[in-house]
Amino acid sequence: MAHFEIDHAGPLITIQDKGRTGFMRFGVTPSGPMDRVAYLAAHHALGADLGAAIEISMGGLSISCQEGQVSACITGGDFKITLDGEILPSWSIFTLRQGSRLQVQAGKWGSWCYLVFAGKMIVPTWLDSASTHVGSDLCGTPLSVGNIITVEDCYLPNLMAGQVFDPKLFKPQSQIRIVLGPQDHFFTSQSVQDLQNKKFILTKDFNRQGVRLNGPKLKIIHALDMPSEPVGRGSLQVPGHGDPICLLADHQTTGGYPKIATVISADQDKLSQMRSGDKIFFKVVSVEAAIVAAKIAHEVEHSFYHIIKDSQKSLEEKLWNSNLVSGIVSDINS
Amino acid sequence: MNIYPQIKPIADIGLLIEFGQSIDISIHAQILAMDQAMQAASILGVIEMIPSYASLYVGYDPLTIIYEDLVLSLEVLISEIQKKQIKIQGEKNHWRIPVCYESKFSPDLEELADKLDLSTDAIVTSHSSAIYTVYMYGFAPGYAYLGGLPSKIQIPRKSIPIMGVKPKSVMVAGQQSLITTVTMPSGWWVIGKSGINPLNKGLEQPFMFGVGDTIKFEPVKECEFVRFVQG
Repeated sequence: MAHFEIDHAGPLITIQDKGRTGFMRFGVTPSGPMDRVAYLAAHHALGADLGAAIEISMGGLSISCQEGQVSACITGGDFKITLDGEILPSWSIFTLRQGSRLQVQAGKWGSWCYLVFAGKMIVPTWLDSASTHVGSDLCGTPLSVGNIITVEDCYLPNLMAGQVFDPKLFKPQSQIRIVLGPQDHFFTSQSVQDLQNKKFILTKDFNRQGVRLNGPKLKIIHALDMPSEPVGRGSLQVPGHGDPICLLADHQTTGGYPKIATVISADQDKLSQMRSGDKIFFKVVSVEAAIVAAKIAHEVEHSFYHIIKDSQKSLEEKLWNSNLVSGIVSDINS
Repeated sequence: MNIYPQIKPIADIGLLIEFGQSIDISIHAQILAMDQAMQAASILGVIEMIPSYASLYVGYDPLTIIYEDLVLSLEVLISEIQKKQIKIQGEKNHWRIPVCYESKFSPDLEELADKLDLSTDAIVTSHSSAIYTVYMYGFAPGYAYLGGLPSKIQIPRKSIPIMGVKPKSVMVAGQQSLITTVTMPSGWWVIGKSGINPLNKGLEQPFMFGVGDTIKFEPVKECEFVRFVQG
């Protein structure tokens, strides 16, 4: 068993696991990681069963080990990791021992990273998930200074400490693919054109629920009275102010604002990893193209997990594999 | 010409089957029928359905089911439910919910009475004599949207939401009423407090109401209410 005390915690640092699927009909948002690929990558790197991770925001986290020892992995974005004063590369495996102090701070890019222990974090669960839903407090609240984290069944996997993958591959590009609808016909044709041709910027209104984008104002043709309907992750809903809000992991399950488009699943986590001030160009694709993109993304992620699973491979081999994956990724993005 | 139902894709994650564009019990009955038909069909690759006022959301896994196949299956089910007289299978519950409307628990009742030009008693009588239907869940876990609010006590929501509205608040806005389950901001008018929280986190089935259930509010005095809540 290992115990950690939180010495510093920025806002919106929460426990997340796979999320709570299947309860949207009761108003329960799925939650789960903002960047699902990074969350899974840390587990694969450690060879750990899928479980609870600490999702760290740009506000940063600092913990000290009170007792015990356990290996851990941090993935997601390009965050600055400092262990006992020594700077580690992002996307690293390391071991924490009694007295160790781990600091995670915003780095070159990325809004969220994941701290996964080689063991089982003791956390409350609700509806078969440990994911914190910020707002309802139904399963924990964001972490704060003084909280104690307990990890059971700790192990020190027989792995090389160090970087498991070069995160450059995952740096989000400004192009984000969308499918128009379901209410694009409520908007002026100029607005539908602007959405595809003009630049949008992520604003500071950015949390686990969604991010407000700023660009040309999107106008509806006439005032409408639309009954609330279910909304999914990636929806671009447009309230009266005309700025689209992209709904993210903790989105409400229903909404009464018209939705001009939806970000395809393959690009949702990339958008989540962007920062306030980053620019986006939307590219409209068909439903069929969105489905093909989901299948390709699944294949690429699968081979990627396979590569990082075996961290014992020689550096040369890992580089070769990472080039292979980059090749596939640049193929699909071109 | 009836253009409904219409199937509208939502990127590669789901689709909406729209049965209309208004809040109407006959439209809602078709949604419940379709929801039940889909539950019975249990199509491989369908993750979940979410009934709402005028549409049914269907979430699916594009890696498991081909979109065109899903749409075909849905069209078959739609034509089946349209052939039959719509009859909702299974038990729909009727709930009687104790509500205390006394001033301690109804911070917005006086202002609402002013705005509607009614007495507070008239609002309470009207609110507690109607039979409500659970149309859908939304906004926050366990927030059941109840249709059937009498027209004379309908009012748009407040222009600015109030932070920290407590659980078990009984609220009204537009054509709806609602009992809150967790502390959340809300722009609805709080006119009473329920003796029961319809979300019980500890239960295996934590949500008290099913979509399609009916509800009546029973006014109780504060003294009875306290006894009820404690007992």
